[in-house]
Amino acid sequence: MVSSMVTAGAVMGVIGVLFSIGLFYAARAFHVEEDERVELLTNMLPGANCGACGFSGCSGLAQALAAGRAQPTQCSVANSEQLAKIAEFLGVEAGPVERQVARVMCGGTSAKATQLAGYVGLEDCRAAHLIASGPKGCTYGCLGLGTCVQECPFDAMVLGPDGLPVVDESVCTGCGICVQVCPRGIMQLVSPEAPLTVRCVSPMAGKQVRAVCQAGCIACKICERVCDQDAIHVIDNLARVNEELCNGCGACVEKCPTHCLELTDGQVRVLEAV
Amino acid sequence: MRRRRMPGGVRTGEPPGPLGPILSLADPKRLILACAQPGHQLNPLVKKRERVVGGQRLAEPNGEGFPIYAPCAGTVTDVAPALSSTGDFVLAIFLENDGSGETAPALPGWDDPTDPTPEAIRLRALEAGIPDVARGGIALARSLAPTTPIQTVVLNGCTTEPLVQAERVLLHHEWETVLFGFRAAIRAIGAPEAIVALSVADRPLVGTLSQSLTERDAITIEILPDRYPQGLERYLLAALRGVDLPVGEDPATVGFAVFDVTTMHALGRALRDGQPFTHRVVTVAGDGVARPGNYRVPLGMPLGALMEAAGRQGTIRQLVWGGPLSGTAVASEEIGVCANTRAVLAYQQPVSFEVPTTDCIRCGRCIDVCPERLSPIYLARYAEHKRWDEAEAEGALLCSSCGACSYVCPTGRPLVQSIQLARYEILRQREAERASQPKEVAVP
Amino acid sequence: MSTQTTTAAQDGVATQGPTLIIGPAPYVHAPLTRQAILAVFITAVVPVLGVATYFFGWRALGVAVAAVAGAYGAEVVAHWARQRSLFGSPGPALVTGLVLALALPPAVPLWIPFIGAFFGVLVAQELFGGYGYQIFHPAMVGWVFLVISFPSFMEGWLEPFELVTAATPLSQIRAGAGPDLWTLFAGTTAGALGETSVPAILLGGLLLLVTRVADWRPVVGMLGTVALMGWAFTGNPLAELMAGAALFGAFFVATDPVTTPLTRWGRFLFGVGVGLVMMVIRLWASRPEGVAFAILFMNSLVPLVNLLTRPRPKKGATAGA
Repeated sequence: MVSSMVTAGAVMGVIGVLFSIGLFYAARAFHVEEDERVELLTNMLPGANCGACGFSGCSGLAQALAAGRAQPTQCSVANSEQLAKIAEFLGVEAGPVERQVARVMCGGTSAKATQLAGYVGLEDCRAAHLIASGPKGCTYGCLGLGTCVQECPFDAMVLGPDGLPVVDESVCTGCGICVQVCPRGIMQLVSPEAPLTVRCVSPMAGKQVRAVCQAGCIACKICERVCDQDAIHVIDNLARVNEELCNGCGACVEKCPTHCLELTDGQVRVLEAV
Repeated sequence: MRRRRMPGGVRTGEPPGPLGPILSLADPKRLILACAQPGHQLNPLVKKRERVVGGQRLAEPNGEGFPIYAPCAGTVTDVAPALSSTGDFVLAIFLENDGSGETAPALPGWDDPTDPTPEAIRLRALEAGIPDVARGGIALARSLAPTTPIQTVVLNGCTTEPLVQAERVLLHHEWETVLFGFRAAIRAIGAPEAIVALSVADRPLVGTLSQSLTERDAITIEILPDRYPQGLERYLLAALRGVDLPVGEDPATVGFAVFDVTTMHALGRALRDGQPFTHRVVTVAGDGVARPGNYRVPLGMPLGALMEAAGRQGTIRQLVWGGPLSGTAVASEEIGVCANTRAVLAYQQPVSFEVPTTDCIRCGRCIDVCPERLSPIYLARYAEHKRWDEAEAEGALLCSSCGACSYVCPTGRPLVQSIQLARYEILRQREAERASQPKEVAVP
Repeated sequence: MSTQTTTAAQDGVATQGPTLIIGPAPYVHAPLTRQAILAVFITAVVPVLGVATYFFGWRALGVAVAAVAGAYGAEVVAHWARQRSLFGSPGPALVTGLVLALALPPAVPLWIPFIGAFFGVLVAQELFGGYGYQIFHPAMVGWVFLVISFPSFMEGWLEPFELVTAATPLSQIRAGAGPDLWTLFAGTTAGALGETSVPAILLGGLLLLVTRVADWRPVVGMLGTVALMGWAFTGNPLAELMAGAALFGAFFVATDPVTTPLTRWGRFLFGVGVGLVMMVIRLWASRPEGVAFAILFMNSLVPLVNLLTRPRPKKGATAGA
């Protein structure tokens, strides 16, 4: 009895030792040379793996940083402290940090925009857009299926009850993924200080816009006339604002007949009463 | 020259028996004529409140297009953007029919398709405003002046999609006109060989068609299996001559010119009768119309009016532009019939209500029917989980969007839509990578 | 999708809306839907169940009901736990329950089919993700569970009509003296509820083949292999085919859409494999019948078979970007 236990133990022990030797040599033979800084840099980065920098995840950017092929500011998610730390570690200049947030440039809620047809299919704005430009009357307006909300790696967006996405600008890092996935280019990145948002991207003439949405820009140019900063102009049937010149006085917002202009104060959407 | 059998495919079963006649319609009250062609817009020649006659030129190309003509006499009520079948708004001429039936005089015609010179044929094709429907609506005159050498001209009469009979019915009832156009096309291109491709369902027609052919024609008639999507050019050419045409490529790159029956018929009418292209045969079907059939429809007829003329019944909840497998549902009845409308289907109940989507049961039917030998089960799964790289590796870009997989899927999964989403994303990401700033910024 | 009722004037024509619904192509569908497949399958099982009732009495129906109840119970439990709707649910439960019931000996107490089906569906199907995600055939998992956990109850073989205990034809054949071929064909021998009557199985099986619910390839692969090995090793291929669960397994179990390979020739290989393993168990292992084990064994190889038989897109079919 005891001798069999001893034999068993001895055999297992010998096997264990043999495997350990094998593993030791394998670890040496298959060792991958890696810059140790890469792991440190990966930990310094926000770790969201959103891919906005263009590299594959934070470790991808870390490798490029360590090899001198990228700049710290390419990470739009990292805040200024993180960027300063990375820049100091690498021994480079941090560079200016320009924070951006995503804004929804459409005011076509389910109440105000015409729905031409119902839609049954994949719950994805891109997929819906591929079928005869979608079920909505306005082929430039938000489809409300929430692809941007799903794709946001930071959960900074929710789909509002009126059918439009809502961005929480305090959480939004400006990574730009929602901008890429929106098939209609409704999401745009702007500085969070930008006071005015034109909630429409439709280049159609006023009459066509009116036929499909009560909240779209009809290019009446009233805003252009009342602006004393020369900050807003109607170009190609769409009002466009120069955020640097705009002082947020709100004169255009008051006068706009379709209420497609909006003063934003960061967190809360200032909505006209429906 | 080995024929290559198309793998997969579905047999959807055309009802047997002779095709009905081509039905004519009273010209509708309103027409919406789009002034848009692939890549460019036309210049309208008419203004609001102007009166026009049937066959009068309404818009002119600026560049590589072709003119459009009024299908009937009437007054122009507006020149404004209108909804097209792709969902875009394009400039259109709104015409109100005055019922007078007045037409412009026809151009002089030829009795024999070999009388006009190739240049004259191309000029007439341009003047008569004939699009090459098989090439997506570009000017036929362009297809008749190929820039690469063409060995074989093919008349694609092989419609294997169910319900769509518009092409076949022209072969049955107006073959002489089609043949006139086809002979002229062969002459204009100068190809040594020509084929008329038919599906097995039209085998009884071979005798009648052959009678019109003479030794002068180098035209052979070939029969292809009646399995959708045999009629798609890629599989057509593989089956006829064993040619490998990559997905999305023009047949001219492999020395073929493929024409559809409607285009050849229009060319025949233009050359022989001097008539511009103003009407086309459209198959109207579905349980939303009481009188389905093949109608000769004026271009620009609104879908709503077409449904009324075909006997709208019940509430039409789904309106399909094109065939049931390759077409697309439209969101409005206010779209005018245009050159590439082979069929309009009206359903009282969308098929997705009858076959609701449930989880995949891994039956493998989609793999059995895919003519590209892809695995839609995996492709759609990758697409739905947004794994675009794996979808691309699996062959998402090779899909020809024929719809056979979704057709057979017992659980009603939107396979084609998922694969198209994957293609959209893959191409968009490629485009974004190409256009973006260089990622790698050298540190100073 | 939310649809709003608005009226918009276009060219003076008021349009109500929206009534139209857009969606992806295609706009027709093959007649064989998931519901149709399940319905045809259940219809095909009816003759077999009918003959079983005729042979073994009302207890056959009782076993069937108990098994279906167990299967459905497992689905209810799982869907409640996952908070999903029971849409389309009775179908798979019916199929699994009936298949398991027909694989059981007639003298089983009713709690056996109930817990067998419950276990099979819960463990093999629901824990893997629900119908469509199972790797192993739930009815076969249930059967194996029962045979291993309650072996004595699973030996309740009865003679038809008289309902006295009897040995199954397979064990008789192995012992040297089996029934004659006509008796085997008619099925008036002991055996599981569904495996004895050859005409009933063929009738149901033919329905499955004709409607394309079942692919002929696994059937031919399996039965061909069984016949071949029977001819090679016992000299009596017909007996090997008709005694035991070979026919039932070939038509009703090896043709299951979910647990078999995706490709046509993969399914043929699957059938061949099942036949092979089954005959190996019959001839050289300690069990008289091996269909369930063979099925489960081949189920585990299905991903490999899928990989080996996947179609490859043609070379040179490059896509334009």
